[in-house]
Amino acid sequence: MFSGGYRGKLLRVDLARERHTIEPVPDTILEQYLGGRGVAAHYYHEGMGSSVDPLSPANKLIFFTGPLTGLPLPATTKFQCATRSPETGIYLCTNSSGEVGPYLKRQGYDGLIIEGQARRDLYLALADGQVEFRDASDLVMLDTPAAIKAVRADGEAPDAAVMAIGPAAYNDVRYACIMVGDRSFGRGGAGRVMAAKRLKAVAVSSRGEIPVANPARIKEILPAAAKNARETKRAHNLFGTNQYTEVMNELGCYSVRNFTSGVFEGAATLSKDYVTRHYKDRSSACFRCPVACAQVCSVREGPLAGAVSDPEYETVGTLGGVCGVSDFAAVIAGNQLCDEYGIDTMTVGCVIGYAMECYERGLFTREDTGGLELRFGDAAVMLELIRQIGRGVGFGSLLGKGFRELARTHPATAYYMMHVKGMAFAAYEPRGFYGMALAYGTSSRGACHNVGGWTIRDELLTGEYDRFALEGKGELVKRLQDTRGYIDSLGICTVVRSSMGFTDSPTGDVLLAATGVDFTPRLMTIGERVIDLERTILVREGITRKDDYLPDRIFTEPLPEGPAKGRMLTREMYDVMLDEYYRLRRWDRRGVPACPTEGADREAAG
Amino acid sequence: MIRVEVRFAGLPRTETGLKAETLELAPDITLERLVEQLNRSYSWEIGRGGSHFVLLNQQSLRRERWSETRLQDGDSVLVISAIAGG
Repeated sequence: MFSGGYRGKLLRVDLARERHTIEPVPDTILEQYLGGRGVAAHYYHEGMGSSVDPLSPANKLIFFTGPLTGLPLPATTKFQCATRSPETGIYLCTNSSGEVGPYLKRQGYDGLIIEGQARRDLYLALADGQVEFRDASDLVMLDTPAAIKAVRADGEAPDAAVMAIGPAAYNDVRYACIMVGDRSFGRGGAGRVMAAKRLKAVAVSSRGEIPVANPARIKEILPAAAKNARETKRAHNLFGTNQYTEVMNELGCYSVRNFTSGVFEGAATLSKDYVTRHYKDRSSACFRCPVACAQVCSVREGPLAGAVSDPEYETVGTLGGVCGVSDFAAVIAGNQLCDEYGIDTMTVGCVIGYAMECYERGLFTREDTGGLELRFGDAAVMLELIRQIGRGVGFGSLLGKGFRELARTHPATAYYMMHVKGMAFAAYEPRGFYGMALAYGTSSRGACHNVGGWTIRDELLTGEYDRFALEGKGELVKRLQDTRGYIDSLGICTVVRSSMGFTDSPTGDVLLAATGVDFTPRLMTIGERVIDLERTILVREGITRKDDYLPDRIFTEPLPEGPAKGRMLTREMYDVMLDEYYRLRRWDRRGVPACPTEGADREAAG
Repeated sequence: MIRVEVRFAGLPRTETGLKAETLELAPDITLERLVEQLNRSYSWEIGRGGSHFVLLNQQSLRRERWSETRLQDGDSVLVISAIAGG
């Protein structure tokens, strides 16, 4: 059926036996779920029981590219991972940029499914169509940059794309990430799953090109799409996503001191102009990206001199705003530590912010913290806690367990945990944008701004919505989630997607030129089908309506200051949005879909 | 005359070098007229497909309502650049 875009095969790896098989990926699955997130969810649904322990050999790491991953088009860098999260205890979908996804397709595979637990510490090397299980016993506790370098040297493959885990994953940090070069599968703890499998890294060499259905048309599309992306995303190139910091603060919905306020008095030194003037070295691009939104920053003087990293908005908002830290040098250093240890920056910032508030309220004492005084705004303590978490020592060994486990062991502090389904908030105050509250609540992986649907633009700029109104938010979040459902299945970055016609009203012929099949008119239906399938998985794992609510703070405390002063959501207000959302999804009042192929049924019905 | 605070965030703050300025304006001025004035002052294309947007007292208004929306003394207008992605 497909004449390009896909390779039609997946690589299934059995770590215990150190064997692999190559299987066809049925066209019918690709037609239904497109690729990436959708197809990964399909294999998770088919292959994982409802009671699998995330750290047991029965868990799987299911990596899938999309039909556009690796193609000669803008930012075709994305691939997805589905696994059972050790942070949340439920289904996780997470995505990454970097070169591993594109190279996996060049090796001839749409997907990579990793099963079992190795009997020794090893890494996987894919090169020239071969699959090798190579010894990693000397690499285990290396930080991620050193591990990636060592893997390349060991395999004599200096250009190989490598994804690796750091010490945090082996030290039981439940939100340990997988670093993919300098990008990451950040959220949900896929890195911890990899450590449980005794798999340190996966190295993939580049090999050949990926066939496309209509190469001439792809060649025509590329320059116009790249030009459009460069022009429309100029601010991303200049400032990256951190351009939002001052905007969110100006609107009174920034993430401040564990979400006790929406306005941060220290925002000026975290904001783009100050950062550009004092810290920015250059803009950096992912695979085939014409935008280059990553902002590589370095600390040039002071006690943190020499620190280098590229903090995104969310990282600035969590290591900075949530912890009350206004010193951008500390954010750069904290981000670098997280990358080296292999820790999700967003979750760690929220966990530290929670610990700071609990300490200030007397719920943690110096005895608990090993003598550390946890105060909002103390950058040195924030950095020390990241080190402790990464090393699995001191108070950090407790914080590394994440909110779900902390709620079990320290129930008296649960009120101060800003999370949904065990996943920490992103850096947007949900009382400042009611749509974001619903997005956090209904995202399939917990409080996520991407998977959940990023409502900020629609609520702020279109004039169609009042950000403090309830009506229409169910429709908005559903539409954004469905859009994201298909975008995450394509294999491209969301920053450039509209340059190729991938919006909530998809246009263009990119997919026809790539695959030979005109998916475009069906994309929103496919996105909806992906969300329905994910919800079916979650319901199987015990998730119902009760899990779609936000922490009590959001429902009981009005914002104390700023433009959104006095704003809050009651549970009754939230129910108005949630009911609308369920109704439009045709889920029942418990949040249970009729069947996972609901979207397909609707499509067939015309 | 009325006094209206115009605040800038995102690219507009970089381009103007200002966090905010207070303008003294004719009592019957509409949001449409103020936007035209800002477009002239800073070579922007707000409301004409450009990448900058305005909020009046923290709320966005549909483009067609700008000409009927009279500004009041003490109003706050926020100019921000397009937000996409996340």
